[in-house]
Amino acid sequence: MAQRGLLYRVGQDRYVVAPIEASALSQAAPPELLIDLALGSHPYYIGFLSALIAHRLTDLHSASASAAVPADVRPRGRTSIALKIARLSPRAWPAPDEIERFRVLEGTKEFAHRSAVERALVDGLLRPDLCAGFETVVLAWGRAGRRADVSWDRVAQAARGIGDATARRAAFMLGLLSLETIVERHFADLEGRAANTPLDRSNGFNLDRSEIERDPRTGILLNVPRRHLRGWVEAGADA
Amino acid sequence: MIEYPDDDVIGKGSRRHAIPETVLVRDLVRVVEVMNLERQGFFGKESVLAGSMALRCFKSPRFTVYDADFSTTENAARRPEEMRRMLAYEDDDLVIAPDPLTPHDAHGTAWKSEPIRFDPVFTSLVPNRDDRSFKADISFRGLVCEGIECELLVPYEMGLWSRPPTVWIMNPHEVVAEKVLGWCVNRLVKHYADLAFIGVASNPSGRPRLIELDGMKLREALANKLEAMRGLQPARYAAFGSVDDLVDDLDRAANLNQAQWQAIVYLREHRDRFKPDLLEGAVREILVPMLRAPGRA
Repeated sequence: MAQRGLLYRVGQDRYVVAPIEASALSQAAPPELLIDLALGSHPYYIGFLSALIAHRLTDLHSASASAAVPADVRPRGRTSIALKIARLSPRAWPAPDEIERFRVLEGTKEFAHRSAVERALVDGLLRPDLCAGFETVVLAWGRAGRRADVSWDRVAQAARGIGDATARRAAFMLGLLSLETIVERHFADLEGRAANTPLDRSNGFNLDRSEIERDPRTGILLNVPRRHLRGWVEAGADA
Repeated sequence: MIEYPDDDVIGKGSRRHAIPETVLVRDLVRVVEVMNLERQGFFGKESVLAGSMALRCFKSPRFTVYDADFSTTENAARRPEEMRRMLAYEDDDLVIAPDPLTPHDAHGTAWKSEPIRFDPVFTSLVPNRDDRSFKADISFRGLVCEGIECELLVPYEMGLWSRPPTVWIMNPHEVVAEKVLGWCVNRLVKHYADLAFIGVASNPSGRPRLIELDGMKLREALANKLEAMRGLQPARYAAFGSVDDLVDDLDRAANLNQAQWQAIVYLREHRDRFKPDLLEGAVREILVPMLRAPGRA
């Protein structure tokens, strides 16, 4: 059956039997269900670029999916799914309300777990490398800035829950979106002098040290040209 | 409207071009939407298909998946409710149901319908409702060049039609102007990638030459577009007082980083050709000289 493209391994001791007319795994089941089958024996959530796509925060598509598991979980065995996995420390693991359970297929009782829109934004700052890079992340924040269904208080709480560096990055991004009230409410205690946190963890621009500006309020090192940031936020808001 | 492909054909196309099936089906639906508008007489010199779908008519290999862009002059602008009616479509195999149009900017010169939901009865490959939508952006900001009529091309062989339909698309001179502004002001790599493709496709020494560009007309289109946008969004365009400011900026090193580059989706067979070095060379060595004022190096 495997040779005929009808049997696919999706996790340890877990297989999908495809309908006879299927010619690929993707025709046998939605990717979210396959991820749930592969990872569902442990805590996990679909996140990063997959979540940005699902929440319509980017127009990109991806041939692979991305998900997170706790740091001590090691999914075993090869699967037929193109899956990028991040292992998160207990501190960085989302609070229950930062993950949503959703039905993967209409009319079925199959569910999967995905980061809520607020957590998806914060995860972009945590792992831009899993979100198609920092341009995609900032565009997503710009787009979210126009949406009524995004709670910026929850964004701030999710960032604070992860740790100091992510909190500083989030505070800077909220300032970039002119959400000063949220910054004051959640990040008034940040001391800019106490930190040197690069904004883009993936350091995509690889700027010379002399070109890197420091944000005095958050201690963020702007390793992305400010002009790019402004342009991306505006373009995101236009989308 | 088209010969709807079956799941097997869609699956093969998906694997050949490394595009998920859901995305490919959405693209087919966008094609039907364009043909639907064409049949209702939407397109003309003053009302055109824009964006990446228009560039595909010149064989652009960049693949985008979510929005369909249209642009009209002020004269050809349609009321939002009329536009929504035109966007709606139904046949035995497909239903397209647009949401009401909402203003995209404070001036009311651009509108969008999002989501436009569709029900693709012709395939079983899009089972999730979330995957069955796209967006239409309609700009009434005015065209600075008359549209041109050409065949609507798609980048895959699926036997959709015996002969491609013709539509009016944005004049490539105006596309260059929009993309130059998009890169210089918003720093979006997709605009730079499209400029590079136009550079390659219009290279006077290239064979075949897919796009004919005229330097004077390019500068004129860019000047008119810049003036229009400075009127609409003066703060955003404040750094660029003239066409030469834009061309100077375009001539600087693009510094495309790896992650940005990887976010650009090319069809699989073109992926190895369109690399950052080629993009930068095409923009700085082909387009920039065309955009320079005569006598100014």
